[in-house]
Amino acid sequence: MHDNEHTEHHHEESFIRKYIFSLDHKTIGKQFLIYGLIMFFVGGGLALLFRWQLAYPDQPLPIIGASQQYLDEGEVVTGADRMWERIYESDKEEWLETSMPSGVITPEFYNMLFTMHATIMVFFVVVPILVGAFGNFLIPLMIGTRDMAFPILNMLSFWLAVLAAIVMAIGFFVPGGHAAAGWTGYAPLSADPQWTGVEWGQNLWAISLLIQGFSSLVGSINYITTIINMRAPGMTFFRMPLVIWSLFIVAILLLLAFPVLSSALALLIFDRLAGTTFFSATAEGGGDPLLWQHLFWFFGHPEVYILILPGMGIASELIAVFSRKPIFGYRSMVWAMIAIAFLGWIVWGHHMFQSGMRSEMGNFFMTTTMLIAVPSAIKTFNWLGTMFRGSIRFTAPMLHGIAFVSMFVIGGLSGIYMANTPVDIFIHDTYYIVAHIHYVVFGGSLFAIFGGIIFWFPKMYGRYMNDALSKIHFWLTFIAFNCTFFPMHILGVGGHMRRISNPQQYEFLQVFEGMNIFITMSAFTLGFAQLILVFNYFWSMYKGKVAEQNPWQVNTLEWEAPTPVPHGNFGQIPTVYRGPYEYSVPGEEEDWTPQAQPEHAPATGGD
Amino acid sequence: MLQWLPENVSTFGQGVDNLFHAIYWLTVVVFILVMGTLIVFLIKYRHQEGKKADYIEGSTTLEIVWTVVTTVIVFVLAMFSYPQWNNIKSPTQFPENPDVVVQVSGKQFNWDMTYPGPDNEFGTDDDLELENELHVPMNAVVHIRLTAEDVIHSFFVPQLRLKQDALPNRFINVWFQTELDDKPIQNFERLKAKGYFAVTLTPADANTPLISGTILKETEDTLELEVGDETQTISKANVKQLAPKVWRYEIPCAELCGFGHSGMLGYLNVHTQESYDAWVQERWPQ
Repeated sequence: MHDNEHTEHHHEESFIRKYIFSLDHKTIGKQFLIYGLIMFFVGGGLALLFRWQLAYPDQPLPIIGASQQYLDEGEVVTGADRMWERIYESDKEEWLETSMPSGVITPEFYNMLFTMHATIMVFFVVVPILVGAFGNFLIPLMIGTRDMAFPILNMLSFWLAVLAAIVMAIGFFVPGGHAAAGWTGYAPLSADPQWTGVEWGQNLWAISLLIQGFSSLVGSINYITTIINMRAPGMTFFRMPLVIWSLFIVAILLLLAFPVLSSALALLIFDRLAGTTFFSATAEGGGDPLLWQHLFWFFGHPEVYILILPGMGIASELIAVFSRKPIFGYRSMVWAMIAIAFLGWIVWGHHMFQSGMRSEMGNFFMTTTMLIAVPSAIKTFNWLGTMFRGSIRFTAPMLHGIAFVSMFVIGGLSGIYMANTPVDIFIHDTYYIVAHIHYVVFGGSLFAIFGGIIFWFPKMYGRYMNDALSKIHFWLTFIAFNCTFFPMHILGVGGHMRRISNPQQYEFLQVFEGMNIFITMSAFTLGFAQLILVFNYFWSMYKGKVAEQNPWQVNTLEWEAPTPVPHGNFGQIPTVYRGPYEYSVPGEEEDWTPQAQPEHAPATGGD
Repeated sequence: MLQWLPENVSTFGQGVDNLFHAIYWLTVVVFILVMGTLIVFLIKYRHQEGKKADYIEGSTTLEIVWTVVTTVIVFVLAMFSYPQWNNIKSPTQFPENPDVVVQVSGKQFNWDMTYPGPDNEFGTDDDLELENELHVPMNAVVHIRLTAEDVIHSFFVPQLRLKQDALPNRFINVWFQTELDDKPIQNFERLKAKGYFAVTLTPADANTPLISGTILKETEDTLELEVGDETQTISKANVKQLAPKVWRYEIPCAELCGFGHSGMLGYLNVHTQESYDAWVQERWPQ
């Protein structure tokens, strides 16, 4: 190992410099990826816990829950019973005892579980992977430069994210439990400990998100600077791959949106710790709970597009490469993303339709929100157009790309119901919105993430991921995902509220008992299917089939770099001669024409 | 899928349901077209040896077509939606002279109902406060002054197609009018789904007297009734007809409001005029 380092690199780097406090954008990208995958399991695990409660309300969890005999008669039967017996007998108040006595999830703990599930998935999984991992790894390679504009800021961005995760993790173990006011943290519930009984959990939640905000800010400044200033010769804006466009737009959104959340969080911390009343209203005066909602959603809606735009970018790459065709309507794809990003700033009110806003405002926000259907439709039709008369290869990344498009269609269409104010009156705060957000962020972003990981893995580690495992993981995930989240539309139509811990308390929800059990079983399948991905990832890092420099025969610049990509990326910075999607050009012998290939010269790389 | 919608009993609910159905069919058609096209493309244009993809960069005409068509659909849908929304949520369009005005206040974890009493003024001696029980006459215009005491709650009656957040230190006006039919019914499957609560039964056997009671439980062919202090189980086959007296609907809280959010539950009791008069008489004896 050490010998290799000495011979391969110009600079001798210590292990810590190379793998821990690395300044190399590729290492930082991989760090973000592994960080996101670890948090993905934390967030998913929390979801499985509350799914159990929804299917079998107030029954002890499997394996760690006490047996029925123990609950009824105090008779120790199983190993879990012995554990609970020990916990109850000890004088110390143990964490398990307060959160889930005998393995039964308490309502307080339930609220904490879904709050932290969403917080972790949004802020610690999807953004770090899409923006942190893919952004870092791809931007310098795809625009043809040696590293980010500010490598130290880049490293800082990752380590701030780690600090944020540590602060967030501590929150689980403080007295009173972690934040339990929903990931949206609506005030006054979140603003005063007396309403939830949560003391430092909510404070740490806010502090952690503040830190995460700084991490995103630092990252986004870096991305914007790099993309504007450091493109390779010939790489004009309209020769940039769509994934770079999406990351560029997202960096701008992050830069503008996160300070809004940060200021809201700062005010929240003042309310909680300094006795201010920005977000609470009393007859004597004070602030307004709606102020929090406006600030949160003014950040929150652009945030939703931060979660989906890079997914669209990745899916565009996958679909063009594996259809062996240019992107249909490249420029309208770019303008559609810009339109989505712009509209994202004037639709936040649709999260607040039932908050008591003036009905005129409802009409305004309904119109702007439904207008998002236009750029979304443009994108969908252009993906279809890209496949039209193509030569489609059903590789594992392509399967994910196709899944992205079809799940995004469902998520987009269900959005029309939510956008429509009269219909929203009924489905607001029901499982309909839960279904919608998961179709967009899981069905959309996560499938793009999985596809992207498999696609760029050969460039990251010089090896392929195992194809059979990737495909098994894909089909299991695709089926279990739809079995988990599609029925939630039906729950929503039935009026099933979100964030309730026990649907059996309601007469009109009795009919959904079976469906809730079905959803939970699907969710467990979905959760366990992800183990295949993780196994495949780490196994392939060391044992996967060795990949050539450009295994998928792709035009974009990252495949011009040698594999594994050395420090500094390229021997000589490539010059760009054409757009990124020149596939199957008439008259060319090969069905791909790399961006860096001079006119009438043979293709380089590949096999 | 829309058969899962709870029964609608409000005057404006039908408008909401019509839009729901319209969007449902719109999205189903779009979904089938898009997915159908996708599947056809995936099969027809799959990789085949010796066949190259066609080099197509796009089509400005198509881009314009799908932009314009989507925009038009969006605006048409919006045009049909504004009046429905305003009708439900715009206080200037509420029917005037309500038959009943009630203040509903959410607090962890109950709905407090306050009736102004015969003088129609809140804050006087004849106010009546009830926990979690809202009583209104059928088919009357009801105005609600919605507020909250601590955190944000959300007043939700699925069968009315009505939902409105309740905010501390803020009064939000809401209205509804039920559209119910109190004619005796003979064919009664799934009574609970239709919200029947208190009923008067005419037994099939003409010699048995009428039974007035409260439905506790319903199975496929029996009804469990609370009659006076005792519980009776009556076979549906022995009932000739049934006349509703009170419909009862759940009022869950739809906005996370703390650890008791799940189970924060009130009831909307919609009385026949006769039953409501009796209830008023009982509360404010004259």
